[in-house]
Amino acid sequence: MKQLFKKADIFLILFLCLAGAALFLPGILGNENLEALIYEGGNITHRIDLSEVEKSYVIILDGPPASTVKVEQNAISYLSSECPDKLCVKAGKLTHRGDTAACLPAKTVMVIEGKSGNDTLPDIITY
Amino acid sequence: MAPTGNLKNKAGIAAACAAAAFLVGIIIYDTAGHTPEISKSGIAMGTVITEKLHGKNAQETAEEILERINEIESASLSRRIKGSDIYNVNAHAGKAESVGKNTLDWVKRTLEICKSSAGALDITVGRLTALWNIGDDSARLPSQPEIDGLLGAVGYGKVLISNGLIKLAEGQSLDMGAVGKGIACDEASQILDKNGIDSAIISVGGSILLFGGKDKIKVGIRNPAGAANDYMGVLNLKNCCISTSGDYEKVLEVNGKKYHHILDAKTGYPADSGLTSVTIVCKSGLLSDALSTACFVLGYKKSLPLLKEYDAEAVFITHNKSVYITQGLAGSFEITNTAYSAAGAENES
Repeated sequence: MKQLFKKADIFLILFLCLAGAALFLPGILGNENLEALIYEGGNITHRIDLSEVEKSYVIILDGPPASTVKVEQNAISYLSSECPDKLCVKAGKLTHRGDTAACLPAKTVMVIEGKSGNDTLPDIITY
Repeated sequence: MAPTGNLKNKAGIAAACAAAAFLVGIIIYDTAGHTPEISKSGIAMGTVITEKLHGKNAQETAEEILERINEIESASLSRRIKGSDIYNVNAHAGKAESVGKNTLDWVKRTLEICKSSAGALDITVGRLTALWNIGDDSARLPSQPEIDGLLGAVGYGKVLISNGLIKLAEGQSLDMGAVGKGIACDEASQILDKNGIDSAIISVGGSILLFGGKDKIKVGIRNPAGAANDYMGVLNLKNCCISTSGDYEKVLEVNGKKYHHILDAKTGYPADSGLTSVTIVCKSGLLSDALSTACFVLGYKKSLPLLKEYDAEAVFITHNKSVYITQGLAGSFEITNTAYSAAGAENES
């Protein structure tokens, strides 16, 4: 009887199946790195892969009121702000998935996203 | 040159394999419960809104939710925005005022909780809230005569509702701040449902909606003694609303003494029931938000009948870092900060 598949065909099938599955892997696994998103007026203006930061630097958000944001490896924080209560600065460093800080007068929000590498960490915090 | 039969077969097999590979990918992707995740953050109701949505039309839905929350604030619930229903009701205290259908429903439902809590939640504290104004630059410690002068007008029982009209007693003023974020969660839930979203986590200033999804979500409870992103324990939950009231969120400090923003309608001063925070878990955002304020004012023991009445669960944290949980959360809550200790699960039966 004639063989339907040759050995090479089977390898090809396996390869294509794996390739098909691999196409969807990024969506399944999500972003492995911690990513900081900065929103100004409801729009994302900065998307920073915090694990890729080699040397810390500062971003100025014009506001008003204006504020400065410090970007470090695996951390981001409001360094200073011209807002009255400075709650954004008091929020301290954001280092984990779900950490959030905002400057309400300036309508700016910073959120950390991505995989934390630690499954016990919460997805969100109620306060 | 025309392809031979063998080549035709190979090409067919290759095409079939490619299709099969694609299908395998989709099956794996779907089995894992993953659809594209959309994140959005913004500011509304004077607080931070964060959204994470999975499903088709997630981006549009996230936008729609943010717009709806802004609309709720400006058209209905704000006591500061001129033209909102609550602003108009307050401005015409003593006269019956027409309001939107939603506003009427929210006020009615909240007044019922005011009654059930015997005034531990009282939305007629609007003028007292404005007098203290804690959380604003103009916050100050009022004098006793100032507080006494406003206490007389406080009382949820004096609010009259009939034929779609709300009438406050002279001198009364509504403050829907204790339920606004919860109402926003309920409205978000309706939009998510309408748009066929698979799952979502919505936070409106710390009041959280967990919508759909197969897996439980880890919800941290803020550490009252810690920084904004510090948590003391974790709840594992799905398909519910969670609200927390705490004495750390908005504070006025005068001569070394701290005054928080949750007022006791009976005294006119910040509530002092021995609690530093209460987290409520139930099916409705309005309810979880309202109960968190009521229970914060009532204290642990007095809150239990109210929670039972509304089929809600709670985590109470006292000033000495003891943690009480209701029975329904016994398997869903874990203390992660060793400074806190479990005081027990209350048997509500």
